[in-house]
Amino acid sequence: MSMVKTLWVLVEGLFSKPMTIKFPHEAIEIPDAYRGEHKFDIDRCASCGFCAEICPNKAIEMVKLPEQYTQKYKKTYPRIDLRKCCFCALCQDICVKKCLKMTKNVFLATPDPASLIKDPMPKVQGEE
Amino acid sequence: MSGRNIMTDQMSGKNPTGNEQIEPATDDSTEYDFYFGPAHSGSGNFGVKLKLDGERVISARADPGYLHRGFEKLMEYRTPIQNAVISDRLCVLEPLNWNLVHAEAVDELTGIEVPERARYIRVLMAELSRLQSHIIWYGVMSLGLGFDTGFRLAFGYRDYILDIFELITGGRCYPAGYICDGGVRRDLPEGYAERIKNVLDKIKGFMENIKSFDNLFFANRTKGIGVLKLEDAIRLGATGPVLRASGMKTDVRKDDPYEIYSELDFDVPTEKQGDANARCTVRDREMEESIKIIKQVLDRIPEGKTRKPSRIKRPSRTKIPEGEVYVRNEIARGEACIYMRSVGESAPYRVKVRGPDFLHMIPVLEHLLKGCELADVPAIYWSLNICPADMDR
Amino acid sequence: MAEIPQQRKENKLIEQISSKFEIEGTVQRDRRVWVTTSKDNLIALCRFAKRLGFHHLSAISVTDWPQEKIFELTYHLWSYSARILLTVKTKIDRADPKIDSAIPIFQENAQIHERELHELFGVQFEGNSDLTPLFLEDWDGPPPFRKDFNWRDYVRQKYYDRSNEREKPYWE
Repeated sequence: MSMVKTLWVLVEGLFSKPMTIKFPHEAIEIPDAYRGEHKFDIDRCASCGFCAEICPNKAIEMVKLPEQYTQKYKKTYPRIDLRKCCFCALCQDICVKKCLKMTKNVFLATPDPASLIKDPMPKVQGEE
Repeated sequence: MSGRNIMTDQMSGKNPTGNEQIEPATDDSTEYDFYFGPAHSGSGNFGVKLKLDGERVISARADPGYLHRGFEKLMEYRTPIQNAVISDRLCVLEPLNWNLVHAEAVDELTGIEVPERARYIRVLMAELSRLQSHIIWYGVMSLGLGFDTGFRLAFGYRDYILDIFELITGGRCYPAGYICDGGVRRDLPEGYAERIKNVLDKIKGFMENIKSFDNLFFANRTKGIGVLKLEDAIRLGATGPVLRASGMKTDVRKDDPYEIYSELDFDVPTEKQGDANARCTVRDREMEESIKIIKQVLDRIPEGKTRKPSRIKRPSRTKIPEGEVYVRNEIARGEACIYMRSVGESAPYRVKVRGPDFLHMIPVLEHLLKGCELADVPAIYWSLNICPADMDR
Repeated sequence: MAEIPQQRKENKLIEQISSKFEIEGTVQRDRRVWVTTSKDNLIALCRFAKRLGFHHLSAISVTDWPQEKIFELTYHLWSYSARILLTVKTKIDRADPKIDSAIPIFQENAQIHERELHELFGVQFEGNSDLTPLFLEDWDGPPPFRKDFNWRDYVRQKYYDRSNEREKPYWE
């Protein structure tokens, strides 16, 4: 009896839709609360350094900006090392000004590890 | 009787110093060493050194340490909210349960009254995590028995629960300290109840399917194998489903209730035989009980705050009051405990993590493997539902 | 209403133990009893507790207090019948960390816990014949979980090369 049942389940499986999806062509929806790559809004940052303090992996370091920006942005700002980041979103939760946000971006694989260090101000073309 | 006598008696065939001299094999010798793991698919980062005579296992010696990350030491340098993130990694397969153990230890030290809604969310997530862990167990057990369909089915259905985790905590496997001291880190999103109910219906369909496979694939590979008698189980420190399969009706959720478990209605399934099949049956029935609990929680969940205090404090402002606690929880594999000692600093002075697999993987496994057939090793190994992560820590 | 008989059970347990041994006992909350005793009484107390129904040794833990020059050992015992967690605490000298093994009482369960603590804290459990390392392979440093073990320095000395350009930052 159980043999018949099992066969039935297996036959059913032959005609049902697969559970997987064809990834590059379609993808499952990522919810809004997802903890992906950071987005940093420098204009709202108060340079409090709480994010660097709470980071369990010490992936955030408060740094000064390159000289051409120091006129406008005089304080220190978080530089995030995504190689050390564990995507816990504690920095997002503790941010007073809500300037650090986790986005839905999960495509972080890269052949160039240095590109995973997120400077507070994106580097301008031609700069060292 | 001195301790030395007991040891040599029960762990015979092993040189206690570990400096075993392997004798050169003669032509008619049928004794040889056999390594089960550590690079075996499904065994995890854990090995068992078997001594075989032909097909029969003479003795087994567990070989842990491939996943040692020194969590207890790491936690001495971090504040509770940072430790909550670390506590995910204590076991890959049930991070939310370990979150809960850690959060409870801190709550008991600080004496914070956790909001009612947070307590319900905690239990909801812990039970979903238990369900998910049991589904993984089913998958890995099928893989061990050579039943690949079960493995693929289980991991497919597990992903439905991971979708829920992703929706609520923001991560599929690691919730990043979702259950933290004082409550939970964020409120439930809209429409969570319908999503969870949909997934539960799918899981129920899955469980009906696997029941029809039981007699074909599971029963004949697991019945009468790896019998763990009740007195042996207690002596060796077995807990959770392993102990319940040997006939002891005990469950930390009932005996030492935490969170809101004393208000919920659920059974503690037990079996008498104590063999691998009994352990499988207990887990199958536990999955049903978990679904029952989740439904009750969804019906009763109150409105209100989810964390107290609602904001996360800076590490330099955090302080754990002086004291020491020992917290016990029932996770999918057994009894999980944390002993936490604080001297009033921002980080705990000492954290001792007691995972269920520490005893399941070393004394219980060594005891069960002694004298069994080589072909039964995977059935016994995976019937214990072991994961090296919380043993090595 | 159900809490009152439970509390009584815990107080009775402390009375029972204190009638036989010299202890300091407190009831922390429901189902949690903490008992402090001397090093010499520990094994006898554990044996007595097992006779009272504390069959399950949940864990053994060591806390290192380098300033007081002691190790604090805690034995967490659970009774399946009385549903109480009894924690037995004792102190041993840090310079000479020796204590009798609990193997005669809790057998393999105690053996494996003691083996772990011997490796991580260097406590000598007398009567335990199998104290081979569990987790650490080829370890030559001091027991790593002691408070005075400087792991940063150890890792630097052992694994990082000062002359290597890539590993230089670890030395600064």
